[in-house]
Amino acid sequence: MHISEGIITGYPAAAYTAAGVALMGWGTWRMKKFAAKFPDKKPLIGMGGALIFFVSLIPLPAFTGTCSHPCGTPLIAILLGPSIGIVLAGIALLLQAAFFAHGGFSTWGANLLDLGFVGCVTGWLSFRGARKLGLPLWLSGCVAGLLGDILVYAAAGLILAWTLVHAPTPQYTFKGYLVAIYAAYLPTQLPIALGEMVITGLALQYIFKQRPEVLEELGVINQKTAGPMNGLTALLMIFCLAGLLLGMGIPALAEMGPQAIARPSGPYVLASETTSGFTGMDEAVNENMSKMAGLKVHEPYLNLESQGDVWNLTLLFGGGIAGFILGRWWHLLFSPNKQPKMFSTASQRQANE
Amino acid sequence: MSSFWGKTLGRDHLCCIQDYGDASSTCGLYAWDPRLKLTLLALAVGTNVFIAHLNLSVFLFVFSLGLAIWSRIPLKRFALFFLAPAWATLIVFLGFSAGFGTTPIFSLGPLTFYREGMAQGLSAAARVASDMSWMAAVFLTTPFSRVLDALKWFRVPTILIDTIALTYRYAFLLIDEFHHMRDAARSRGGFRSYRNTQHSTALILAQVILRAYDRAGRIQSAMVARGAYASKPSGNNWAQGSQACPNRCDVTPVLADSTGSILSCTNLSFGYVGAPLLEDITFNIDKGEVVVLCGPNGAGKTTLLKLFSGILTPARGEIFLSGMPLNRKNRNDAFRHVGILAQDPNDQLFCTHVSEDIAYGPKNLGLDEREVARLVKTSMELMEVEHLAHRPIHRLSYGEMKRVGLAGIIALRPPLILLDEPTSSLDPASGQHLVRLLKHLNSHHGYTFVIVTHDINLASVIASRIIVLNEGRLVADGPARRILTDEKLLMDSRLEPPILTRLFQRLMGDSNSSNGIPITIEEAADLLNSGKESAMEVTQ
Repeated sequence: MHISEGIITGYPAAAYTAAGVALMGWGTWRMKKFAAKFPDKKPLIGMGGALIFFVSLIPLPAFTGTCSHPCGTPLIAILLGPSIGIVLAGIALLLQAAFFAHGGFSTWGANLLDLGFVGCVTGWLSFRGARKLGLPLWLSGCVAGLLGDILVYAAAGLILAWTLVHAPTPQYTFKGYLVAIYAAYLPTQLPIALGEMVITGLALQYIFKQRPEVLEELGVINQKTAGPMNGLTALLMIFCLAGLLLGMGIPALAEMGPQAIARPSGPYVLASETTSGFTGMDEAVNENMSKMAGLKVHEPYLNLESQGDVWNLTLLFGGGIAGFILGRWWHLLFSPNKQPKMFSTASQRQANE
Repeated sequence: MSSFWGKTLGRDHLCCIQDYGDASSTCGLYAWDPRLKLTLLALAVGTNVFIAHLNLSVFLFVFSLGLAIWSRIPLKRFALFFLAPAWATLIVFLGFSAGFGTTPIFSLGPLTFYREGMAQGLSAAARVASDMSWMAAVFLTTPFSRVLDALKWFRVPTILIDTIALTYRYAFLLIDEFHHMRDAARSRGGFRSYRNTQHSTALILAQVILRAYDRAGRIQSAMVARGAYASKPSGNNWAQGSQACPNRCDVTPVLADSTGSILSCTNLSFGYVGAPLLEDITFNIDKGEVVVLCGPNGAGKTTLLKLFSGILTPARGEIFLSGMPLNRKNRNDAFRHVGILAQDPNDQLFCTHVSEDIAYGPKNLGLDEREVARLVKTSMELMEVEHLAHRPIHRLSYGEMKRVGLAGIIALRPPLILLDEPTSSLDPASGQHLVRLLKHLNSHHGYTFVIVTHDINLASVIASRIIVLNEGRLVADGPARRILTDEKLLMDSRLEPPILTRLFQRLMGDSNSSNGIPITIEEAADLLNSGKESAMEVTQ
């Protein structure tokens, strides 16, 4: 994902560039410390830059018949750490802008904030979090790839919407632009996010299968964070995450009604504005419309009202079962790490052999 | 934007966008100082974006276009900078036209286009055109190494510049590796469905990452071998000048002690517990010798070269370079006595451009700039790569890379040069070219060579002495003729004599004696001619 040249202008462009430079400064400071500690790993940093340049240009198929590319930054952040990942992303973005006309100099800061900062930090954090919870390497990679990719696009949408709403004569509100941008992203970027999820997870797993010592040397896996695969823990985590997302998402969705999207002060009347105040249809309207059309009104196939409290009872039972599961096994989420079985180190394997 | 890149990210497309200019040109911007050009670029882009006015963008675009025409930048290369982002710009234009404004012009299905939005879209498109034309004007007229020099002048941290240089150098290689593996996977049905594609891409990505990791280790070794971590910079004490070279090339090493061995090793062993790679290797190499190390795969030949160059440290035994012991403490300074040319030149050449890479070693010697420039120029002339001086490394052929790698070593003037499979993957003409240059370095400049090769024909034309290794042990050591005519010895080590030698052994019916058996075409021709003359004498 690259925000193209020419979109961001004026003070925001200067602010994004300043933020990008500050991020690069911080990352370079961390990189210097790393290079001072491990002088023999300097070429590895350079190769990391080449990797991020290359990974963010890998073609991935999207269902719409086109190809797109993954962000790549979550994977690099997992391998080399988020601070170095940000610097490398900054370098790759500069080179891509200078030689491939991909992205641009004026949007470099915004792209670095988005691809570099958001991609690296969320990818790395979600990977570490997943590993702390004892998820296997491939699943942790998948979680990092998916969340990293989605959040990069979410952040890109925010940056774009913020830019557009501050342009002269905007037609929508901030939320309106956000919805429009996300709707435009959805058909191609959702498959890409899934692709990045699969590829990040599988690539890590293949590296682990082939050369686990590489991941150990890079600090991606170690005995402290490595844990056995626990299906129940994974299920619980997904359950909690889904609950959290729903809890956060529903009020936001409810708020994002048609009235919120259209800009009320605009002189031009939008189609969405004509529907404002419309609260929905009840059965009486349906019946009237059927009569007017000369059709016979029949009973609904699924009559919730006639079932009384059956639905409430079902929901109550469901909640009870889910509550029991959470209450009985919630402590597994925070249980101390057990001796790893799946991720024994190369030296241990040799000793066993 | 993403679909364009996804579809067109291929070698062809990457080669289309030029990343360096014609260095020999002195037209217009080519002759300007890169620092000035970068400042102008920053000013132009900054003003264009900050003020964001259509007229200004158009003015800046026309100005840069004028600069490009004045500098005689080829139109095709210049146009590519616009064509690449053109469709993204179109989307931006349409987006602005449909997303902004109050005065509708026309509707296309659910989309209504507005006058004000179109003006904004046009302004954005002009900004893109202006920025891209400035980038094209600057980067198409400035070699990237000079851009990096300018960044150094602007006090950009060294570690950042080094990382940018390595990223630029190896990104293209990784993309190439990915494509080679993807082609191989595709030819075996690895990309026939969505699921397959994901799986294969992940598998290939893992391989590219692992290769990059290994390559980083090899680059580190190459850096050490060329003095990246030298203890203290100081000029070497080689005498200047060579009367022997017809070109009077001034890159001849002279030993402080010309009577002793250039290299000697005693009871050298290396390996892991229970799995020795080398055992009890002992031999000396004198000045001016060309020694070929032969042996089957896994015999320990490359490991031996790494021990001699200080990349690895032996478990037991001693190594002396020009009479001085090589140990853990001084191995970072071994590059003053020995140079090593890696089998894969991509590991050897880690700088962005040819001249910069050749200058890497002499700079580590602590020489002044004029002397570095002189050594670089002479080495390039000697290796016949002076026309490639400003070319990025990733734009060289394999044979050119080998010659540039060798130039980088002789610019350091080490008396001993170790070559790992120098002719592998070279076409016959490039191989012969390299052999001719090696012979010249040996005969006219007194360089000593240790060459690891499987190519027995190379050994026959260049070696003065052959050492055979097998399963980590020294099996034979002697003059090239004796070793190359000993069919049993070579067969035992999974090698074989040159076809010519075998043919004459069969014809002359004496497979055990090395006397009179030719090992090169010249010797065979002489033998046949002398046979023909004696036959004529008998007839007469």
